[in-house]
Amino acid sequence: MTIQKLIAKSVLVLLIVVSGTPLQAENELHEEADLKIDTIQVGQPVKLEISPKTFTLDGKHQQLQLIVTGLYADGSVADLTRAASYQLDQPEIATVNQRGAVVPKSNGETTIRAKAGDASIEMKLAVTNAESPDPVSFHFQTLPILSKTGCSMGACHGSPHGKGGFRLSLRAFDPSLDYRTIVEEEFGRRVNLLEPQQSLLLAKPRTEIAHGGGQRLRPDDVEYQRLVQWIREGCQVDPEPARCTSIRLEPGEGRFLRRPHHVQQMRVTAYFDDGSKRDVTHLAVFESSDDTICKVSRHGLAVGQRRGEVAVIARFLDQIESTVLGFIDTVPNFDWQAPEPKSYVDELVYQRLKQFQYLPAKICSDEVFLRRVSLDLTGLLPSVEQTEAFLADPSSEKRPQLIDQLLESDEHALFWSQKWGDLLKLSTRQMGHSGVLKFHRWIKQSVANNQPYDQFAREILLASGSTLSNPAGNFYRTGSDTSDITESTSQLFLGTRIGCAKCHNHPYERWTQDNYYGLSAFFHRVATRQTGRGDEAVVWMRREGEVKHPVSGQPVSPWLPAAQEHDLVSQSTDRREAFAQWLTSAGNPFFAKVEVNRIAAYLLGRGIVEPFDDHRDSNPPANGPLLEALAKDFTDHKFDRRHIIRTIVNSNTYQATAETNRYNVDDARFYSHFQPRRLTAEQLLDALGEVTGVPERFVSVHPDTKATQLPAPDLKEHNRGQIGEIEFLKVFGMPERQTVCQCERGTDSSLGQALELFNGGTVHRMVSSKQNRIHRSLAAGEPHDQILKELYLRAFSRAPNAQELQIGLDYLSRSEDPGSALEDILWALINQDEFLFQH
Amino acid sequence: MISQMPPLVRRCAGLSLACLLLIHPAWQPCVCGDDVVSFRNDIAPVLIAKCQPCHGLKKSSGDYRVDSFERAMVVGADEIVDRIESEDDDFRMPPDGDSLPKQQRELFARWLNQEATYDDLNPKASLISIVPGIQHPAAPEHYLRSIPVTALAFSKSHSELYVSGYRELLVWNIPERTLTKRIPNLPPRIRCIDVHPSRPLLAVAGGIPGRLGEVRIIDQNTSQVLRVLHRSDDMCFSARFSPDGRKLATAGADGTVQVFETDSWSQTHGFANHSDWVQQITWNQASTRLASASRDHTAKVFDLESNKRLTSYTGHDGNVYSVCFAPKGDDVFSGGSDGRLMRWRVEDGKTVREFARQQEAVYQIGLLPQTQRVAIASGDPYLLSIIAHNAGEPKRFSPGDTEGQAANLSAAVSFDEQLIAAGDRHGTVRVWTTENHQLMAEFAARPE
Repeated sequence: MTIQKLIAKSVLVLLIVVSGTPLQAENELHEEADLKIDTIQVGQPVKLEISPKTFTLDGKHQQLQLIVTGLYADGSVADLTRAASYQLDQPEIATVNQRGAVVPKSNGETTIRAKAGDASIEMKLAVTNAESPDPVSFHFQTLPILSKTGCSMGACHGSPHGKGGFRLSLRAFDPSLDYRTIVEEEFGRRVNLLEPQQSLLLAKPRTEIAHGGGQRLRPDDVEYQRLVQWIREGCQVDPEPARCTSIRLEPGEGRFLRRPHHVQQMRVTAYFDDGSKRDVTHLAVFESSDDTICKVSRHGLAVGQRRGEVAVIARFLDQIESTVLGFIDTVPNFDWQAPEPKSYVDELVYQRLKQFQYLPAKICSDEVFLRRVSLDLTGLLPSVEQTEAFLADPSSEKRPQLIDQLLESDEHALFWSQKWGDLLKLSTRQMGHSGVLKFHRWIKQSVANNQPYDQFAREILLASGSTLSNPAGNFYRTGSDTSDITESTSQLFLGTRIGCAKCHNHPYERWTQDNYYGLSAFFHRVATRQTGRGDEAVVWMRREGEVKHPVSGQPVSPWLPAAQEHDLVSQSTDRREAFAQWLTSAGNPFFAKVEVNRIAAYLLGRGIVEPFDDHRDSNPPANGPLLEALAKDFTDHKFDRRHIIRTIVNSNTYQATAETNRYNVDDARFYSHFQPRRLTAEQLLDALGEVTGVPERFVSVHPDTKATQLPAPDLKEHNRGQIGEIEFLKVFGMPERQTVCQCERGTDSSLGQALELFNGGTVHRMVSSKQNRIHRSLAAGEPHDQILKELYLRAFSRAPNAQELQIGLDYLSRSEDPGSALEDILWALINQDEFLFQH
Repeated sequence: MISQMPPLVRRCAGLSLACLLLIHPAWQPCVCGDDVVSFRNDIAPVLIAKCQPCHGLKKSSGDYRVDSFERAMVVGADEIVDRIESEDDDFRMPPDGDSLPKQQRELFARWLNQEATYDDLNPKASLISIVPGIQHPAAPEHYLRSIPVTALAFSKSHSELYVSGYRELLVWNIPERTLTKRIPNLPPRIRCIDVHPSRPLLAVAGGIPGRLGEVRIIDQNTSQVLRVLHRSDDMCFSARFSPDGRKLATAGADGTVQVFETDSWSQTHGFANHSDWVQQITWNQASTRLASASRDHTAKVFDLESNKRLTSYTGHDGNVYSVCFAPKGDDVFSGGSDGRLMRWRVEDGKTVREFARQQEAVYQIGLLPQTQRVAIASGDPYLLSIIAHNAGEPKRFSPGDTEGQAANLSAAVSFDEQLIAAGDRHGTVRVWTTENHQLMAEFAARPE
């Protein structure tokens, strides 16, 4: 142990002594030394609460984690579990250690009194079977310990091929396989029944023998001692283990801690199908959804690192629970100010900002708004005429009017169809040339007519017959098998990346392998066949066929989250109807939220849940009430997508400037200001075409088609290549549409992009073309200042200021060839962030 | 010997190899005087125990390895001594723990003073192969639990059975079902016992998982260890005398097959063709060829005369645990974790036919040349005996009720082929007659 560690440890111990906890010498706190735990300030709580109020510890190896909460006069709360002192009526019954965990000593009953400040509270404890032998349970102790120490995690022995010849099931989801591996495989090499400590299973993690995973256990760890005991007892396996049916994680939702309070002890209780319950805090694995906001120690102590909200996730065996904790810092000199809210969107955003003490940004200028909203709703820069007219319009209603006007435009329908094209994987590889065009036309109609979203989803999911007459059926051609379709559907409409559960229970959420195959059962009978007529395929339902569970080999019945079984059984031959019915019903917990979150992500640059197609308990929304309100509004308006777009775009939240102030500069989650983002590949190519007047032409589509309106990236024409081969689009991240994941679209910056902009073929051709806008204007004899002004209006949707104009004119006057000088200026403009970014 | 042990480091419970190596005088005569520090005896054991876990073949922190003298000395003996003497936490080795005991540090310092000399021939040799053979601690008098029977062999008299024990061989009298003798000074895990066809010698392969592998040659008359061969840093799994008695073949987790002369114990052959553990080896009747079974999913045949690998058989889908030549030596039987018993040709490695397919892994194959049968022990609760040339109806050996019976991990056939024995995972040994499958004996092979 290094000197620093020693000091840190002794300081920590000292703090706890000062705060008055009765101490048991324990070595366990060394792992919490790097969690930045400040002294727990008890202050003067008006009242204490203790959880649980009563408990029975059955067996000498059981433990109980107490949680003591202080309530204060100002309404705040604090976790005082480690700061409280504990007194027992009958001290021979049990002890309370420095973590507030109760360890039994002998049978009997006692009262435990917790004291902090002047307040105190009692709980009743009973201890039974403290003297009976309490053999270690393979299922409920050994396996959770191997999970807790990380042995069976995906990167180590839990990987499909194990590590170093030793393979465990991921997170212990196959106990009988793990038993064979640990106890029996290779002639019992891993356990030593006569000298348990010499077991390979223990010598490796304590690094007495080279171990790729490093030190995972120390001989004085409780976990280590349990493993030793389990081997000493002859590696017993529970004859008929009770099944763990659920776990409960405390404290529940809605706990906000305000500095100086910043720690929270968690407790995990497991419930078994024999009616028993046990405290498994010391066996559970804890994780935080964001380690920069909160870290959780292996003993379940959540420690706030900075302000924000996180989900704390607890896992025990195959059970997962999560709860949300909020940490609030008091910001010095913070003075709340906000524009008048336009709608519930602003109200809920401001509520959250105020809670976490971030200051909302001001409303952006007309110039910025016009450029931003045009790009978001149509994908295109506003024309010079539009810009001039909008800026000159004195009406106070001009923003809502512009929004309505853009939403009605053909460009809007085409641009938003492209987003759906990405999600639905429109490509000729999957559905042929005419399949793409027809499906694209169908989507465009849906967006243009503002088709209610539930109808849109139903028509896709229930599509049958010829894909020529019913293009939505092409959806079923985008997956090669039932699994593909199940995974696409769940990611698109349930916002859930369920793929992991195909092979094992999902490690980070409650989706199990059973659930996966239960969902697939809805799609298993869908069949497609090419007819050979053009790019036609026929989609139909087979009359029979069941999906088989890969472990049990048994057919799996259709299953839906939170649905009654009889909803699913009494159904017509097309099982998809039951699924679609459930999906689009008003009470569906996923459907509306996923779509409004997707719309918010498109418009605000970041989903309320981010990534926006990854909804799960362990990835909490940045603003839960806002997501709920948008989803309710969406459902109340009969799934009117345009209404949601309109609501968001009209909000102050959308119209906030991208400039930060000192009170919101470090916020990237709560929408305190607009997040600038790079134009997409297609937007950028169109913008370049617009500014230079030399639009890119694409093969196989109408010559006026913009990049933001292309039906698919792989349309091709005989001898003329395909769209996707345009280097510029590739470099800037146009997706190939291989997956339904939005992440396929590249949003990062790269050296290739910089080179493409400096002297790439596309930029060079557009800037130097004698037919481009500047050369045409020069030829027409337009004055230089007029040309410069138009350039700025096109590129930035604003006129140049006096200084910018002067610099341009000076440069032109010094140059012998105004054409070439203007090219330089044009090149300089399109290489500016103001052009490349939406801000 | 144990009683002479200085009362030293008894950290934790049980004894680590580190302690053993340090506190036991070498059983081989030490050539050095009292004052001279021996690299082999004094320094190498510490390097193995304290440094090699992080600076070895499997893990080489800082690209530094200590697993041979040459490699360890890359940084110079000065630095090694500086590091272990240092009081700077960031510099001292071993890190994150207590420094080496004073006694050991003094040894290193003295060794440096005598110019860090090396007292073996080959500075490239692995440390584990140059340290003196260790005296294993005594076996527990009573076993608290039964341990799996992982190796078995009949004595030449057929009345006694050598059974794998913990740090010892247990010699059981079959008719009496009594423990007649315990042969000490063996590693805790024993995976193979072989009896020399004519001389009073035993070969025992085993080790300590993850730490040590070795083959010990034992004089049956005196129970003394005569030689320690094939030392490596993980288990040895197999040691077999050739039918003519002139050679011994060994194999282990280091993936090598080694052949020694039984007169001089000098190594005559070495084959490193397997890419993973070699689980078993076996001789042909002419003592000219070896077949090997490996965790690399192959079985191979080696020819000693040409010193070449003849064949590699890839018909198994999983670990190969056991091999055995067919009576004429032109074919090989192999069995493994896929539960299959395969017969294949030495000539070209082509499968002749699948002889059996068990639910569980096949662990041991034995040939009964007189009756032209092969017997197999597997994870299933019975033995199978199958006609070796046409895979006719197999015969089952089982103790009547197989309910709750454990996997048979080991099996052996007596020299006269009258008896067949098997040892199971729960520590029970059973002996049958080969003629009519009568259960002759059944006992828990555990000193109680």
